[in-house]
Amino acid sequence: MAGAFWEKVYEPLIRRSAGLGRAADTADPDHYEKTNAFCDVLVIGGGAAGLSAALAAGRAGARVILCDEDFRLGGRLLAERDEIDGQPALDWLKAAEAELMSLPDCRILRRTTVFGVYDGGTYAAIERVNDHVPVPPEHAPRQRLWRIVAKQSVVCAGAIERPLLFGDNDRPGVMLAGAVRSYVNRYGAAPGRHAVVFADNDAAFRTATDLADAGIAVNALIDARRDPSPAAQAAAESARAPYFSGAAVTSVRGALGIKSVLITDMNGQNQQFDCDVLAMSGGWSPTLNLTTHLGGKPAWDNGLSALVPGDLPPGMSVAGAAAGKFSLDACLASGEGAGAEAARNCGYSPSAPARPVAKEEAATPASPLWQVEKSRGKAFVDFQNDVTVSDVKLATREGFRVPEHVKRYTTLGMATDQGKTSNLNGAAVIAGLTGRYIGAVGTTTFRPPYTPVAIAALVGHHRGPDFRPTRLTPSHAFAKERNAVFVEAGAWLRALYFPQAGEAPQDTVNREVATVRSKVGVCDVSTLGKIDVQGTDAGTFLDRVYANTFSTLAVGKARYGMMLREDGFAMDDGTTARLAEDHYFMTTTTANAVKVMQHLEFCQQVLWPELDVQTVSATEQWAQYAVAGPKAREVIAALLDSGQDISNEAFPYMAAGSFTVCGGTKARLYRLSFSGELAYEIGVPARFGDALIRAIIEAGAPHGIVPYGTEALGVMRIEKGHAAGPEVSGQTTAHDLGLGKMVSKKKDFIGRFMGERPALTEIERASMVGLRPVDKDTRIRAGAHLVPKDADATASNDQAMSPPWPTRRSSEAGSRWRCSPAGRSATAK
Amino acid sequence: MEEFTYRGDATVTRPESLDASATDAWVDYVYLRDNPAGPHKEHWHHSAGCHAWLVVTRDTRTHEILAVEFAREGS
Amino acid sequence: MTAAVREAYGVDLPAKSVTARGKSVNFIGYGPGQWLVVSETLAHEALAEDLATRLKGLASVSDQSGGRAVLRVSGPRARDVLAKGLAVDLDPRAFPAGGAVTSTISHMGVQLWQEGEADSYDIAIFRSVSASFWRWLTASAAEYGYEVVTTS
Ligand SMILES: [Zn+2]
Repeated sequence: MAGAFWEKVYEPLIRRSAGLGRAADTADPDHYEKTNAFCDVLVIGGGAAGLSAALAAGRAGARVILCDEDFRLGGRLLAERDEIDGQPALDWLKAAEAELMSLPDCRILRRTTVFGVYDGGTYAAIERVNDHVPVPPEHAPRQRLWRIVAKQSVVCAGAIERPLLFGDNDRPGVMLAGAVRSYVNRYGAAPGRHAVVFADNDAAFRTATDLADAGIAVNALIDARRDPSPAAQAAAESARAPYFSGAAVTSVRGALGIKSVLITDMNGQNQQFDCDVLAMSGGWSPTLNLTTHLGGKPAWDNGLSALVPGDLPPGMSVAGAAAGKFSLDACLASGEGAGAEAARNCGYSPSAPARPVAKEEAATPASPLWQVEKSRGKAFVDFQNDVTVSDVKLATREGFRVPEHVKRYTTLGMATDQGKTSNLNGAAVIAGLTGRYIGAVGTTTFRPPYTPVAIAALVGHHRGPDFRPTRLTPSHAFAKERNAVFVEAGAWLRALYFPQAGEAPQDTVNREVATVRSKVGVCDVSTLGKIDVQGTDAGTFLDRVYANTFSTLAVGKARYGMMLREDGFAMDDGTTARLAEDHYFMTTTTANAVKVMQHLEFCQQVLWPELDVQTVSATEQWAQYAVAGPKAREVIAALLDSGQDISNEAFPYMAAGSFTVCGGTKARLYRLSFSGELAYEIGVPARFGDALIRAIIEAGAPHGIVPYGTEALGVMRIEKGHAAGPEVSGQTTAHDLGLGKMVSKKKDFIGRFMGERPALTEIERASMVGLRPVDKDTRIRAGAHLVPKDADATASNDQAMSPPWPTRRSSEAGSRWRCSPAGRSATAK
Repeated sequence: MEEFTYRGDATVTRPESLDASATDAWVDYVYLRDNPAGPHKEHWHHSAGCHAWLVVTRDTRTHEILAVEFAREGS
Repeated sequence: MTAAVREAYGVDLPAKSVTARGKSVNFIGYGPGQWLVVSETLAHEALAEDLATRLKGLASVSDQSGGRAVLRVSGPRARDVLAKGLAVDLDPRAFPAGGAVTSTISHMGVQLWQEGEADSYDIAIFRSVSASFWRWLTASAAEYGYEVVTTS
């Protein structure tokens, strides 16, 4: 019962405490869609670099698409108190956005993340059109998937700040310094009342100034770097807080929220500072994921202590922080340069830039801390998957020394953020533990998607009945009125049978078959592939693609044909009529219509381009109905306009010709039988298909006509011994199908040579046989076992090619059937 | 990509002889394919477009398309 | 053949994927040596018969009028609607006036050409998928609002 206890108590408890949700049990009520876009220059990211790039390209006249995942453009400009050209950066941002929106060919996609890079300059992006509202407006999608084809792209995806690794770094109130500045500067929200800043880079100490200016007390600035940094010291001064270089936070107090931190200074002395927010920063990692989706490897930049983009896909450039250019001025300059270069590569002439300038502050180089060695408590590396420094240590002790292996052992970087904040810290810990240089440890591979994407967005419109296009036959409306049960045949929806009130399916099929055998029935066969073959060499061409001969077929006649693959196996079959000296009309099976068309085009364009022959699909052009049964001629005759003769003499078996029906409508008539009895196929342009089926039913009413479906068609063709799709399985030859006599010995054709290989012609090969139950009141079901007459139903008597069953089982499963061979020779060995 | 249908090696030639001595040539044509790392001529069908068979020269290592010509004209 | 077409229909047969409107017919190139011919005056088989007679010995003609439906999508958001299913750049910079293309819209084969107003596109679709196509088209246009206008 331990299992039940686990399922009922522990697992729900664990799932709840781990924050795992419940799977939805109803369909997503929202609407998603996909769309395509094309541009010269795709700018990925709308921060300072991205805006500069888009402006440079757009001003040059290029078609630009600018994507940003935020609902507002600006990136870090929104969260910092920078100046551009001596003015607040937000003023520049406003002007830049207004200018971009005024450009005729610049599309700005907000709330849109470019998440994948594919061959041929193709990019995938997800636009969260209405994620921010509880219910999207009517007819508006919740999300929209963009497939963007761009001649050039400029990746300005920015950078992601790294946490510092010290004990209890996951306590509420410990947050990234950049996040603290976003709260204060962008949203005007106080993340706490008194703060401590702990970082290893100058940029992060701006947090102290910003907090102090906002009226939030700063109690200490802890700099991991040994040498004091003037910039950090200045920040400490402005915040009127003590500054410690060469120091680190070694423990955190407060379980539900941070209350104070203990720091160890460079002399090893401990001090405690009260705070309810700890702003930390371990530096920034360029967001270079998109540069690696096609196989590019990032490179380690020792000066920056960061991975930077390596080999780039064709047409891609990187600017701003994503390229390791962390200062605002460098972002503006590199964005401008990359945007102009991208436009130039598309054939535009950007004018010499008068680019905006931001004051470059002298900075003390960052010196990454990576890890606080002497701290107590769990130091989290991956905050989403709860992987700690000690987990990584265990992994290396177990012998996992490369990030790809450590990842799989610890799940480091395997959460939905895919290691955006943890990968480099993890690599640094591994490097430290294994005594290697961090650049030599390497990183894991980034693959699309950059950010989680809802499956519904990838699916778009194609759900439920729109999962894929449905092809409806010309008689679909008629069949629906007659309560037809439909079956999917490829993309087609075909009538399977036409049940009458209170009729069981088998009874329906039996009635349909019996009516065709005794009176007359009509079946829609428009789904057969139809190919118009014209040209002076049409006969020669057909001789080469069919195993039998068509050049000798008389005009006005049809012939059954078998097509082989070049390896000698059967490919498809159908009837082809000769309508004129240089005009044939081919039919294929429903399933192979597209494949045969493609095959013919290959033969025509690649193998024998010298032949004068043209092919075009006419499947959609003709509504075609089989009218079969002893009364078929009367029904067809009633449809024909007067003065046209279809007596057996005038229109014998396998005749084909043009007639008019129903008062002048042109029709093609073929005297073919798929199921054995007197039968015709009549074709009219598809727009008359609905009218024709109704006219056939009316004309056939006095003879008791019924519409019949594919199930009855299948029953009758099996009774007739006609091989069809299920038998043309790619493993059968014309000989296997009992059609060996058709195969010409007088000419070359596709499959001729290979079809004559001994293994394909030997007498021992399995061949098609017909079976009839001895007891005619019973039915041979698919999968039934065959045993010789009067023999026991045991495995050893089973005639199927199958490994022997244990005797005990076979007596249970043994067949009730006693089958006698019919049709071609079927001897029980 | 649903626009094109890939067939494969465009460098093989259908033998003309039906003589038993042509067996090796036929087996080569139907079954044996080189698998070069680098530029490779392949047959592609523009199945969702103009229905032309194309000879596409593709670098099998990078998927870079180096040249495209109509198969009918190339032969 | 070019001469015969010029003589019969007063138009130069386009060598590329573009439309060329002649007397009562519109020749739309859709592949090497292949044209879709559309007419608003020669109905159904009459067009095929006319072509077959006038181009006898020069071209093979196959009537497709029963197998296609032609509809026109027009308006300032027409390109936005079509982009939801068509991976072809219809921007005037890439798709000039009178341009034509054979492709797929939402996995359904189409022939599309542009004539007249810049934001107006004619699309020939296969009869059997017309219901599926209509569902896609109305779903894609709903966001912008649309009006259905029928012609005889
Ligand atoms: Zn093409």
